[in-house]
Amino acid sequence: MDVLTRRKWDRAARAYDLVNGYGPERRWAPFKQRLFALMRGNVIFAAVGTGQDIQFFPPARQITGIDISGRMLEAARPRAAAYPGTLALRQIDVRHLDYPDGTFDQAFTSCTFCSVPQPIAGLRELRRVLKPGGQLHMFEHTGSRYLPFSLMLHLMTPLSRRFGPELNRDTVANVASAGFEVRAVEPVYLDVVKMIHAVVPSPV
Amino acid sequence: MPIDWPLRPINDPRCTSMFEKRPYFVIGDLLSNAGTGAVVGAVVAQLVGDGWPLPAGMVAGMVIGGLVATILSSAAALLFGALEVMLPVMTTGMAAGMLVGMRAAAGSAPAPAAVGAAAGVAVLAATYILNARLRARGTRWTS
Repeated sequence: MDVLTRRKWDRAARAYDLVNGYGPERRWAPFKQRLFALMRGNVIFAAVGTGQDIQFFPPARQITGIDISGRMLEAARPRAAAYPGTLALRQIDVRHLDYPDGTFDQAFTSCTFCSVPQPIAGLRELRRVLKPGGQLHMFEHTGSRYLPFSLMLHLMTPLSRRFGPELNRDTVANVASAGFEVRAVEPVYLDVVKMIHAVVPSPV
Repeated sequence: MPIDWPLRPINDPRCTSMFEKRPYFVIGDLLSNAGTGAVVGAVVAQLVGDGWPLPAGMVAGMVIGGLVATILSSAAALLFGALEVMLPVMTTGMAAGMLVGMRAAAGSAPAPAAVGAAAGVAVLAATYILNARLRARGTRWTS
């Protein structure tokens, strides 16, 4: 496991709910509810964090929530225990999953691949553990193609990556580079916050 | 496993609306941008002196405004949202700083806080319009 990344998110866990738990979660709530309503079958949720997103999961689903940070998962446990369905938590790096090929029907992420080092490697692992035709549904923030915003996001990334996410990634391109077939990109805020829907191509 | 393609539209006005309509966030956006613009205007007017070269006043105002806005946007983001606050508020900081910095350098800087607040409202309106245009294009289907 990547010790530096694990330690970074263990440290971030202390203030994570304070920083993200009120304004950002309330603002994104309807979009996340809409996205997670798509959950079907055996689901892997990559980077469940402190479990802020669990409140938006539809009931009675079978979900495995993973995260690299043990401290994050400690905070998530009470929320997972209260979930009216099956929700298992595991500490594991999304880039080094130990599940057999084709284990899951769907993968979900929420502000995950702004933070995973070597995001394409992580996305390839998710593709591997998804069944052929399996779906990837993401709620992510990315860089922007509009100059003032792009400039700001690039300028802030060297600082933000020390404590949390990178702000200037091209996650849609990363999803395609990892071998997924990108089906749709839904804008949430400007061209920065978006929902990405992709599938694992089925063998011909 | 049922495959939900194409995605079914969910009739939730909070998701389908082009503009943010929830009063809590609309008021929060207004307060964040107008407030940041006002603070930046007041600070820049104090720091940029009459008689500075115009470009120096503009650049100094932009840098000071960006720094002040970074701090204020971090606080406002706790209450009103992450990037939805950070991007317009930081743009406001730079725009208000440039505007007030140029005016201060030119020796004409009455009501700098009001000018900064007005710049904040203008930046917020511009980001709302840009966001509505992008959302109006809707989902980009790639296949």
